[in-house]
Amino acid sequence: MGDLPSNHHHHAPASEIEERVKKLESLLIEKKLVDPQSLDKLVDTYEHRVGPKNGAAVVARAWTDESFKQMLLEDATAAIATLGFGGRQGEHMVCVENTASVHNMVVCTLCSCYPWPVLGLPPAWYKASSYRARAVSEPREVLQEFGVALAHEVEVKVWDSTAEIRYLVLPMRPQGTEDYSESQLAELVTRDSMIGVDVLSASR
Amino acid sequence: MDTSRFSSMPTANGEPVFASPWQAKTFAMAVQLNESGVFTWSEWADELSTHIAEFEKSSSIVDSDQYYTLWQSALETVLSRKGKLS
Repeated sequence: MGDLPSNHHHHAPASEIEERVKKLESLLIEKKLVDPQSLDKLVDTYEHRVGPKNGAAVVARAWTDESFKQMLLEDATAAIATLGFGGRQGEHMVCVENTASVHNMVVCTLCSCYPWPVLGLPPAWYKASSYRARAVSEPREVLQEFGVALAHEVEVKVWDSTAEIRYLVLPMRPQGTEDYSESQLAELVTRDSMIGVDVLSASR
Repeated sequence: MDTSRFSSMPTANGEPVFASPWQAKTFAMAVQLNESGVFTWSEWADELSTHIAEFEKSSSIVDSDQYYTLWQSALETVLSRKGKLS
């Protein structure tokens, strides 16, 4: 397969790339290296079952249960596992807490590492060259483009994900939510807030 | 993993997770091959990063078609190196 079109074809026409994928799939099925039913199940999992609602449940629990929050900040993988989330691409989770003085945001500069069990698969912009470069070089400008205006005294910390470590941002609990139940709180939590490019309010 | 209580809820703030079926297919093939031990996830991330870096010498990733095309290229390369395509 050395004569396959390489990535120098910057934007392969859909039909060409469809053919490449189909050709590889047929070969791998023939060699029994992949199983079609398992492939379908995998796709279904990430299209319909695993996504930011999982992370929102983690965040809402941390906001309402101080001992869970401490566990989450000390050993995120173990804390998240107590809610039933874990496995693939969530083996080594680190949770970073936003406070009045520190705002955290997450990037993967080299590829697209992301905490699948709590956020699902990353949005297109997370994989784009622009975000991956600029999150590090000019995080405040990027945050502004996401509509996040931070006070000057707030320190911005940027965490670069790797194949080994995946980060989850614990956003600040919005003011005016003292009476909210855990499930009401979870409803407020956006995917972007857990990547660190959104700040939450009670009036979502 | 217990995800049943979220099974009916949107997963990605309303955006489709995959823009087309071939994206889903190449994604799933890499994940399954990793899990069956054909390559480790570190090997995979290195290969994907290499393809992305090479692409970004002269261009930028702006959409998911480009990203998953690089994903497919990385997959072909790693499988070829491991002698799985011959």
